[in-house]
Amino acid sequence: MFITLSVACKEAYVPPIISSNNRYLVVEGFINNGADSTQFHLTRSYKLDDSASLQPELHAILNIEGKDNSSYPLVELGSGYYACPGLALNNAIKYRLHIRTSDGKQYLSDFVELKTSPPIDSISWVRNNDGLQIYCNAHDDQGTSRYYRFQYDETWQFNAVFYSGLEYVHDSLRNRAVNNMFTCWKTVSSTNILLASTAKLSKDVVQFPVVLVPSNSWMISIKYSIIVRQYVLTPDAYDFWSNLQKNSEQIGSLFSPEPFQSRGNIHSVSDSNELVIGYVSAGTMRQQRIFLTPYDIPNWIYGTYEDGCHLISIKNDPDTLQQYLSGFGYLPVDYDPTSGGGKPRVEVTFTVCADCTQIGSNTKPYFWP
Amino acid sequence: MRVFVLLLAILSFSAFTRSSAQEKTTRLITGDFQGWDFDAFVRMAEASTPYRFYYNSAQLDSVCIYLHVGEQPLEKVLDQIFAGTAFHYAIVDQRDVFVSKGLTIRTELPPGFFGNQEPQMAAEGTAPVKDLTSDKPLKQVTSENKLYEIGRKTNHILPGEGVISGTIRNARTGEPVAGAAVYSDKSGAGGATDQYGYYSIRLPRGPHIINVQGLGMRDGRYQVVLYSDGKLDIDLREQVTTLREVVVSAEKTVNLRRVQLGVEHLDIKTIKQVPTVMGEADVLRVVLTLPGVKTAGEASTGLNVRGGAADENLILFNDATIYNPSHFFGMFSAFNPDVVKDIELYKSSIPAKYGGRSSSVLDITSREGNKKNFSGSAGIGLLTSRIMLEGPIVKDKTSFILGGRTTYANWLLGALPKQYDHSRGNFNDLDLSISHQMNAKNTFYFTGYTSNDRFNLNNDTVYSYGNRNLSAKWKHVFSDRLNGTLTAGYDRYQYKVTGSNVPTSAFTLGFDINQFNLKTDFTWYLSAKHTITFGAGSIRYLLHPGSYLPTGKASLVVPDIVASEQALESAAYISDRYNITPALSLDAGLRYSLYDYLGPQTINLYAPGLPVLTVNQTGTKEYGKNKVVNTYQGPEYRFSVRYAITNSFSVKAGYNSLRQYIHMLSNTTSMAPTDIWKLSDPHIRPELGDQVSFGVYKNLHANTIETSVEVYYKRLHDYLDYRSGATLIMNHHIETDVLNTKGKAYGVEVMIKRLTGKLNGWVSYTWSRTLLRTDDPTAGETVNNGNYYPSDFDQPHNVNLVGNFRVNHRFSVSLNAVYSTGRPITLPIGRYYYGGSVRVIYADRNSYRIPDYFRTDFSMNIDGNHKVHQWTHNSWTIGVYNLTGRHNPYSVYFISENGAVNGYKLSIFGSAIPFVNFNIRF
Repeated sequence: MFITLSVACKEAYVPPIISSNNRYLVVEGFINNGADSTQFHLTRSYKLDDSASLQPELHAILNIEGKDNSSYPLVELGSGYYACPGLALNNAIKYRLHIRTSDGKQYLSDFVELKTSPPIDSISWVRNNDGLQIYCNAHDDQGTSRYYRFQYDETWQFNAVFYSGLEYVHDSLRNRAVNNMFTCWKTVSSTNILLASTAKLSKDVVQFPVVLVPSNSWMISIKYSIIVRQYVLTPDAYDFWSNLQKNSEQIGSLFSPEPFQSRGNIHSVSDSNELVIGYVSAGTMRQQRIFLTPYDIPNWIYGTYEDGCHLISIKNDPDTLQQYLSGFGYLPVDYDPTSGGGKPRVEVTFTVCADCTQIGSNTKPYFWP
Repeated sequence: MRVFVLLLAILSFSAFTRSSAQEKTTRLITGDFQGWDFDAFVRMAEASTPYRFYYNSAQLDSVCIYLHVGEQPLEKVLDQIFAGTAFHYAIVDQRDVFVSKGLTIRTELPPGFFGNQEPQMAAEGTAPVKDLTSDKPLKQVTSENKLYEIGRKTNHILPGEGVISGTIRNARTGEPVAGAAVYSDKSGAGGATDQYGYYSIRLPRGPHIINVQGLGMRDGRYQVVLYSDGKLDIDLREQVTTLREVVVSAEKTVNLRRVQLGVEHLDIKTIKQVPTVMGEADVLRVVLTLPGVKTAGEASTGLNVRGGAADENLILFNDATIYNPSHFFGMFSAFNPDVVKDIELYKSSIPAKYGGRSSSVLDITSREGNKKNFSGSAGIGLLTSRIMLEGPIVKDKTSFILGGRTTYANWLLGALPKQYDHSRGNFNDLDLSISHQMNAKNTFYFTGYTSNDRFNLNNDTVYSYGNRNLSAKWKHVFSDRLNGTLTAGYDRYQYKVTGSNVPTSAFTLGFDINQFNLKTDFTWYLSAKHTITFGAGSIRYLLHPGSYLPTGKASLVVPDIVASEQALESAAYISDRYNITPALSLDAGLRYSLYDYLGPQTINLYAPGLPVLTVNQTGTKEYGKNKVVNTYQGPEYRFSVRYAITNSFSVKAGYNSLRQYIHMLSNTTSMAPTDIWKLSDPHIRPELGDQVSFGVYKNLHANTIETSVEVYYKRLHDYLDYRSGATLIMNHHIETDVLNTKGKAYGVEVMIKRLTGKLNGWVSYTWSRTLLRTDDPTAGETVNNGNYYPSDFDQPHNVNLVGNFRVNHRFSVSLNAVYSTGRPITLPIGRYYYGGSVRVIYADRNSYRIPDYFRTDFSMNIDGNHKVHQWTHNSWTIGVYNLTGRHNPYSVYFISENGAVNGYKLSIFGSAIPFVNFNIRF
């Protein structure tokens, strides 16, 4: 075939601005029975064209209520977060979340069953052509778990592309005393809904592909860690998450179903038609963390976080130095070893290439060995 | 005065016919005959010309000739000799001259002579048909200028009516010509041939000129004297000069004469000149250019006819029901264009013999094989190749036609977006039709059809589906007035999904539907005013709604099988075409259908008055094998009336209702290969649709331009919609996920069509709405608060242009343009953060629209030379699909990626697509 065709095509689409003054309450969180704290995040939905990001719901009063009339208040942490320390709930009874917002409206979730997750057997990985596939493995011999949801946080230690050995202070160059921008850590959380069901399998055994680290990624250059959290859901909760996944992530293929607004299990006490977004689940979450270095993985040749980093050799005279280094665009790296003569030239690079705090944080996480 | 004009006309006409005869002969008589007797004249004539005379000398001894002729044809001379006498003559083979007294000698045997031992001499006065049939000069027509006497001849024509019936066939191939108009000049009465080429018309006894107009055939005019009921088989000659690029409309007035509304007929020649995506003629793509027919998107051959869903169309291929009429994501239709003869789409007035779907009937007929010679054709395109062979098995009695197609479409998938990189797809189909004419009264037909599709989209999940159909038919002519068919068939549709990504969950998902049909249809030409059709039939369904089975030893999948479903659908019908006056006719039909849902089955019971949800389930009830679980039944009305205000202007009105007992479950916009079908059961009621329509039809320019305006209003009941997030596959209690929906559809369709001439094609404009409403209070869930909302294929404005210009006999260009309003979509109105990402809130269902659709396609057809006698005829089709390269959106969607929401517009064909096809006929 000598004619190159691009048959189908996908383009960005900007929808028409739809004037809708919606500010629906969004409730996200999990009633955790165990040593870990329980945390809820209350926000409001916002218009499609609103530039504002998160709109936290402040000054609400939250309580976890048991069918046995027990009640456990949550404390407002700020930014819409509400939490309480580890709870010791009764597995035999159901619990719900009660919200009273600052405008006086009350919201209740349905009473939900406590689902205790079986322990994570292992976090395993397989090196394949596309990269490093990480799996979460678990099983439940009772076969009562069946519906799983996962979350993960990836954290990795990395170095700046160049070590800045010099610093430009008071219009002059000197050897850098302390470099706290060469080694950093970066943490990202899962953004996709991760669900697994063993309902159609004879054994309640799950081997879930959690995440794929792309081949030779800079994420595994010094040390990489992932913590996987495993929740067990009721069938109803699984449907909620699965619908949310279908509507927001698995859409746009040729045979995708039409999107729809799914409803959770939280309702306004005064107006049953009011849309409240979110699903309250309860139970015991399990988590496990592993660490990996590039030496653990066959054929792992890692790259850098920024492909365009290179050194620029500049004249070592006050005007040139000031031009490059007085602003924030460049950082000095070293003297140019190839330049001869009296005053060696200076190698500089883009700030992002020598300052890892542009990408991550130089504070070592508490769990890092 | 009037008599004089009439005489003048007759005289001038006689002069015209004689003079044309004169030009043809070269055997001229010259001489001065003064008082010769006839014997002497004969001796002279036999000496100077090749003529030989046969006569009774004794009878002619009174003839005395006084003539002076110079180089005149014998006929003219004899005319003068016998003028004013009782003598007649006849010339056979330009050689033998018979002279008789009082009786005309017919030079050819009358049709049906050997079955009808009547003397072949007509009584005096009945022979010169031309004098009796018309007050206009008779047009000279080729070999058809002979007199046919029908029925048992009597000396005097008796008063009353008679029936002429017979079969019209192609003189070259022996194939029957369907849809040919047969009518009498004088009375205007007439009819059309059915799909077997059979016709039956009722006329006043006496002389007639019968006109026959067949699609792609030369028009025929036959002089007929009708004495009583009889048979007239006609072989029509093809329009050879035009080969394939020109459509000669046989149906010049069919649109005005037929009583039904909303009927679209297309023959394969028209279909072949419409440009399609890969250059291969595509039946369903062309149907989409007709007014009132829509589709949800480019990758879909699901048809939406006048607001009906894709599963509400009965798609028949030689009486076999085709459940999935598409290949390869809907880019191809599943019918080999070389085998298809024509299609008929019934949008409104659906004949009573059809039933079982609530919106439309698409009847696709394949050709009968050539009964005289072996021939075939083949085509090579960028994606597919096809071949067709046909020929006699027993000459003039039995013929076959075999067609097959296959694909090499994988390269196209390579051109899809990166996400489909590792995708594979292929398909094939095969069809075989055999027809056997045992004798004049019995004909047998057999059709076999199979199609297979297999594809995977970028992973190890392989989808495959296919149709299997067999049908056998016996057509029997009981008498000239009554004929009937008996049809038996087996139809199957199946699909299978195999997934082997993770060995522990490797599975095979299967679905299939089987139906066995048996039906009889009769046509009874009761009188000139009444044509009755009646019949009955049954369909036995066997569905396997789903099986989910492990594959491989490592698989932990628990076998899960949704219990099979059985049902029996039966119907009987009768309808009458009643010609009240030549201008006013009506077609009234009644169909009564009866549906039994049969065991073995376990029915879930739910608390009455509460939503049908698993939480409200109260128990189950078992039914044994072949026990009737429940029954649905009801009448279906089919009524239409036509009034011809003038010869070229008629109005029609109609009402029809339909019932549908089998439903496709689909919550995707377009028809997906994994859509399953479900039979009506105690919880899922049959769908009902009824429609009133009205139309105005006007032909212009001597019936070469047809114009029409039709309006309709349609109601849909118990249309299926689904709860949010419903799972349709492997659902053991599908009733809990179904929402019964009501709908209404209405619109206006305007069409201007020209099917003859150098420039032909059609322009249509449709304005239509399709609105749905889900407000069942017991369902526990409504859509858009129970208000009407537009359906997925509600596209109010739609303009289609299909044009073909024949530059010369070997070169023609075609242009196709489509405009339509964008289809409705559900757009987001807000955003929120949940589950690690920004997500969107959706507004009311289908309250916004994707951008409008516009596409033009262009193609050129280049034929090789047109010599009739050569081994092969070649042609090329070269063209461009989506000439303007417009990115017509198939869908618009919002997806959460890496924590943010992005909106995308997906176009199936994002550029102009060139294509080339090589066709060969042998």
